[in-house]
Amino acid sequence: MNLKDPEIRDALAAEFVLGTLHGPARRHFERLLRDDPSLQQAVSAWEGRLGRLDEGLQPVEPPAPVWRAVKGRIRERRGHAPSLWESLVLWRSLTAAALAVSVSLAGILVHQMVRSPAFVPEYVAVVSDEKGQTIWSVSADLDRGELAINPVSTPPLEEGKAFELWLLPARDRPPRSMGLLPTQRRARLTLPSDITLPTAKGIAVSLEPAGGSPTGLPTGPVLYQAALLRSG
Amino acid sequence: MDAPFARTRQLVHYSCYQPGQAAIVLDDQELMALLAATAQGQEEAFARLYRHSAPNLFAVLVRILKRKDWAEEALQETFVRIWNHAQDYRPHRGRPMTWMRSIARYRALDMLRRLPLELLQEDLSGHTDAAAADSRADPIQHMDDELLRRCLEELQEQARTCIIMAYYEGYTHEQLSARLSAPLGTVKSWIRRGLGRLRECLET
Repeated sequence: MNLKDPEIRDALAAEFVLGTLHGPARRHFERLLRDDPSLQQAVSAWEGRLGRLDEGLQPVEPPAPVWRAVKGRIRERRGHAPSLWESLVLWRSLTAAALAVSVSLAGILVHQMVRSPAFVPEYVAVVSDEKGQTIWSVSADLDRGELAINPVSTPPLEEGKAFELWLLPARDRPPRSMGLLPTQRRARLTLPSDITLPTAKGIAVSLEPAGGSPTGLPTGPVLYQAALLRSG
Repeated sequence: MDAPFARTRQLVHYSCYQPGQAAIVLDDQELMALLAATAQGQEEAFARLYRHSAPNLFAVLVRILKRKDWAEEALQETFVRIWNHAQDYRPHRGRPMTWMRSIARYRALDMLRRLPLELLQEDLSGHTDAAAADSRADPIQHMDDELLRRCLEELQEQARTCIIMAYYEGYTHEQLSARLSAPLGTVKSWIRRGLGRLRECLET
């Protein structure tokens, strides 16, 4: 995606708003959008233009249970405001192996929360190598619909290859791709909205061609697996 | 910077009046105030925001997702997101209702793209909600927005159809190509050119 050309930027913003930009391209665009104010501006302008299509829409009264569910969820979240204490409790509740690195990880987690206080790590997973060295920490905020990935100490990666993150759903359903894992910098991945983390078996990392698995299922070796733990 | 703020001073009617039903209409400034209070965690403001905007957002969701149960789930997600992201709303970037409707639309599109194919096919074969079906009946004819209607009418017919089907019902390039029996590349260029013309027309 060449995002230097202003015409291409505007065309992509338009198709993002229209909805025809989809799949990996949409997720890539969403990541770029996070830190690019001029792209955000272009998207807002298109939301304004195409939003005019909605102006005459006949409202439809939603059933009352929807509001009750919303209220329940925001209250539940308030009870789970992130704090240093909670994050320490969280790390203590991890397995013995993970406990060994809890000090450095708690530091990382706190750092993450300071940078973006709105992210609430409701689920966490620690991907580590056979020696117990943490490679990535992964946390999920279901309401934001995001995974925060923190590369701690990633192994070398051959050119033309990528690490892909998979969610292992309940029962024997096939793994779902969550996107490519960063090796240098922290990144956010968009969590599919139909995913139910509470029942997931865990996560896995596979080695794939650059750009990710061409089939939608792991094609290379599965290098690591980790459990997904509810925080707090 | 003056223009966007000037626009927000006008009283804008969001809820459509239905005969015999008293609609309570909030203008942009009231909605902005409610969003600002929501950002500070004031539940009462958020409840008021919900009461006034949920029917509109729900209509958008029903139109895209076709099924009320899916639309209800998406509406719930949308408002949890609005609660969590109210502090990200920037008045100079757009009107509050546009911002909220965009959150709803993106949520719906996300859901639509991830639904198992069988479910979607089952849905397309008849399980279409009446509210969604309404939107198919010539949407342009009933448009109050004169400029928008004129600009849409000036587009090439296929471009207009593609843009409207994509916006209102979440059609992808591939689905449009199948539905209109046109090559994928052609559909993409109809849309790309159509959006460019639409922008030009709306801004002159």
